[in-house]
This record gives sequence, structure tokens and C-alpha cells, in this order.
Amino acid sequence: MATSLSGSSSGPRAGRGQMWLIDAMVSGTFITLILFVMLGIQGQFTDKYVQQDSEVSFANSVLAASDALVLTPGRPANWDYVVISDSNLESFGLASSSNVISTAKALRLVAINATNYTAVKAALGLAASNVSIEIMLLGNVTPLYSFGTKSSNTSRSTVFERLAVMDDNRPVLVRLEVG
Amino acid sequence: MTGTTARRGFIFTLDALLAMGLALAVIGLLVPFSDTTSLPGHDELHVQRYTADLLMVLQRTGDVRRGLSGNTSALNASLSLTSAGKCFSFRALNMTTSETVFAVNKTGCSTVPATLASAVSNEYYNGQTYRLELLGWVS
Repeated sequence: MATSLSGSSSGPRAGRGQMWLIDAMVSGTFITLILFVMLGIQGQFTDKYVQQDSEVSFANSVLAASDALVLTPGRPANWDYVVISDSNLESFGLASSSNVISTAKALRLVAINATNYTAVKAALGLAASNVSIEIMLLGNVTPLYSFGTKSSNTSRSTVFERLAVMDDNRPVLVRLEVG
Repeated sequence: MTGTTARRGFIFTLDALLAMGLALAVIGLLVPFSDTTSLPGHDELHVQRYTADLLMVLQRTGDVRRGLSGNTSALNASLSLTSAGKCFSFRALNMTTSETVFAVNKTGCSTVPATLASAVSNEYYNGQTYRLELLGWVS
């Protein structure tokens, strides 16, 4: 009787303990799973955010370079009449005034393609990328002036097209491709 | 029996609190990343600059002055030469009366969306100042 009583009292206790253990294991597993899923989601969002942020940052650099090209004369402003080196070309621009492209600067741009490609890229703030600049009459596909090299991987290139006039008032498209 | 029900209710309350805590933690983690879509994209940046450039070009080439004199064909032609996929709507207003003197849309761009780029400028012509407005968007 005593044994039976003892057995009957320890049985439910053991069962309750087992139930608590299973409960704890199940909830522990679920919490771990949820944590892993959360970490995974956070990782995906972080990757997406970092990628988008870097794409926007790169697009902003190209945009700033296109601004410099069509809105400023560069520094020194008379770079088209002096010998250019990596050290003396502080910024690069083709304009004689806002949205007016200087023919003298466009001609000089073509002339320095072989010798000062790296200096021009650096002055545009795009030293690490391939840079191509093309100036064509509006509605025309053949460039009047071209400079630089296009990236072999066109899918990773960023293109900014800007409008301006030459100093004889012909409307032109200035196409900056960076990749 | 009443004690067991009360305990079970207590355990369920704890479960609910834990679940709510986890749900709030997930929401808290995701909210800071939800505004990534509001960053200006390449197309938006591009069309903003392109619109400002185009208005400047239309003024410098004399297309706006020709439009103010009654001949809008040059302005129409210039708009049609702009990059494919970009739409523009031009309007010239009399600064004194605020009336629209003339308006030109790029061919095939009649529906103006809510989000767009805009550029404004003034043109002095024949003793009168005109306000020029150019709206641009990606079609």
C-alpha cells in the first residue's frame, strides 16, 4: 500500500516534470528558430540597404561629375591652354558658362585622351572607374567629340545624359558613362 | 480544478507576452530599414537635372522666343529630340496677367503623373516678362 501510494504519488510528479521539459524544449526550439529567422531577415535588409546606399552614393558621384562637366569651366579655368598633369588639374569642366560648352575645351578634351585620361578621371572624382564622355548634337547618335573608354560590362555602367549648347548655340547632348 | 485552470491561464498569458515581445522586436528591427525606398533613385536624379538643362537650352537656342512670337514648331521639334522615355510639358505664362500664353507637350506625353521634376525661369520679350515652367517625368 505504501509502495503503491509512493508509486502513485511519484508517477504524476514525474509526468509533470517530463511535460515541463518537453514544453521547455519545444519553446526553446521555437525561440531559437525565430531568432535565426529574425537574424536572417535583418541580414537581408542590411545587405539590401548597404547595396542601395552604395548605388545611390555612386549615382551621386556620377551626377556631381556631370554637373562639373556642363556647368563649370574646371580649375584652372584655362586648362585647355596649359599643360595638364595629375597635380595641377583640380577639377574638370567643359563649360564657358552654365550649360554652354566651350568648343576650345571640347577639342582639347579629345586631344588629351591618350595622355591625360587618368588626370581627367581623378579631377572628376571618378578615379576608380572607367569614364567615357561623348558630346553629340541633339537628336544625333554620332559623337562630335569623344573621350575615354567605356566599361566592358555595360550592365554595371551608370549613364547620365545632360543637355547644353555649344558656344555657337547648337544644342548638344553630353553623355557621361561610368562603369 | 480551479487551480489548474488558473495556472493554465497564467502560462498562456506568459506565452502571449513572449509572443508580443518577439513580434515587437521583429517590428523594431525592420522599421529602420523600411525607409530605404524613399532614397532618390537614378531616374529621379537624372530627370531633375535633365529638365533644368532642357529649359536652359530652349531659352539659349531661341526656341522660347519663337514660341512667344507665335511659332511653337521649333520648341516642339526640340522636345521631340529629347531622350526616349522622358516626357516634358512646357508652359509660358504672362507675369502680369498670370495667363498661359502657350503650352507645348512632348508628343506622346499627355498624362502628367503626380511625381515629377520641374524647372522655372523668366524670359523678357517685347517689353513683357514671361514665366517659363517645364515639367519633366519618366514615362
